[in-house]
Amino acid sequence: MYCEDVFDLIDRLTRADRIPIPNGFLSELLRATGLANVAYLAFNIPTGLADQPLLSAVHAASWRKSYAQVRRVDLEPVVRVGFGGIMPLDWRLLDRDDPMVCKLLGEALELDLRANGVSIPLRGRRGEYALFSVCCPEDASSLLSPRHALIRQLMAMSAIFHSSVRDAFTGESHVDMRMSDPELACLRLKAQGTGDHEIGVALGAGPTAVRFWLETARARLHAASVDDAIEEACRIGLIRVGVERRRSATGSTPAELIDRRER
Amino acid sequence: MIALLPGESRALFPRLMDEMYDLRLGAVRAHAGRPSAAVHRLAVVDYFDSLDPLYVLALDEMACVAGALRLLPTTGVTMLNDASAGAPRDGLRVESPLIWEASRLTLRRAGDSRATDGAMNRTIGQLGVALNAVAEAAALTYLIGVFDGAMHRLLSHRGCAGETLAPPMRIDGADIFAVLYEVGATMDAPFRSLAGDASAPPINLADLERLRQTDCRS
Repeated sequence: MYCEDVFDLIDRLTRADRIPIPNGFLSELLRATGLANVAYLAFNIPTGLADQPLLSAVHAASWRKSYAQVRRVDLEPVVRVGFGGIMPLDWRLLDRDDPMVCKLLGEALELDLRANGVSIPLRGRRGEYALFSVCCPEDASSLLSPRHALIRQLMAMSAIFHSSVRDAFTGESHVDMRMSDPELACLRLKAQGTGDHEIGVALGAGPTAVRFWLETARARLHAASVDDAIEEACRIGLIRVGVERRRSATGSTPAELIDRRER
Repeated sequence: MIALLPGESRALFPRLMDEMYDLRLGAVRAHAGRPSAAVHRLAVVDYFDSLDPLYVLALDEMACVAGALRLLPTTGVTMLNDASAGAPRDGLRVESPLIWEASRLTLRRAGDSRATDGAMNRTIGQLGVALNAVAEAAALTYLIGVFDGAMHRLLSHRGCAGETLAPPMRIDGADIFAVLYEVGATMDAPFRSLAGDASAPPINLADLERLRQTDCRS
């Protein structure tokens, strides 16, 4: 099969039935962070259709032709490095002397994309691989300097997004309604405003373990922060906390989360 | 010296992979209580190696592998969650993009003349410091060490065992301990004191192999 045939096939497939993917939170995150462009690419997404492989692509027609002609998918450095590894990839670390990198970044700038960004490789429990990339504004020093915080935020958000995609295809929900006893106890005590050390004393564990259980609870609930996890756990009835004692965890949009963190 | 070897690049560095598997084989032979021939080399390469983990290798001054471990994100398939039929114990997976698993820690064993106490301390220290640095670069919050009993004891004696998460699991007839490290200064300090001044940023693998080949020719 020629490359052109493959891209014709992709064209036909993209006109087929669409499965809506809930990505409202992602849009909010982008608005709040000032990150303008997102690319998401996944392989081996389980479809629940054993013998019907799924291929879905959204790409400008002119790009598809150009990519087919130059075999760009073989050369794209972010895709090559990102899919192969597990480390988040800061585009600033790409070899800017590499002619291919120069060409790609030049093209990105021409297309009003940014030459700076981060790619997050994702691995799933069903054997799927994905790559989640964002462009960062060149002049946003406030975003670039705390790159560590941005990467952590993107790691959490991209995993939630990926789960949403996977769930949309499989028709399952991977938000885990089950929690271990320590996770529930930590959420409950945290909601009451108890400190990590005191929670540890109450549970016979150290503060490290407490923070670990809070993190696994956060991830299980697909929440963006521990505060959000507490909100969600209360909402779905996993924990019950007296309203008067509950620590304020208002503001669950990414913008408000970021504001709170900055404070 | 520390080298980071992404699993998908293993074919480019066969010497390093061979040396790492040899260390694993030595550890299995030393602890299985079986004659050497009973443990085949294939037995030390497991399914999790096929998932393209990130290998962290400690190299000696001759650029030979003195210690190694591998990293996998807990959002994917891991030893902790998937290695035995009973795991995870309570049916709840440990799964977060900010938590990775470190497993198959192997070191040069006693019996190898190069494995002195000092050298072993240095290797453990270098691996721990590198592990923390990788985790910080990936913005992780926790690492879970999944280590066999011998390795767990070895780390405990040196004050680097982390916080035990649960009673040991039984995998392939061996007791496996899951221990918790909180990424940051607390994790770094005990390993750094073992590494002494030997901790350094990872070296470029391609450069290393090129240099070795040049040395061999000269």
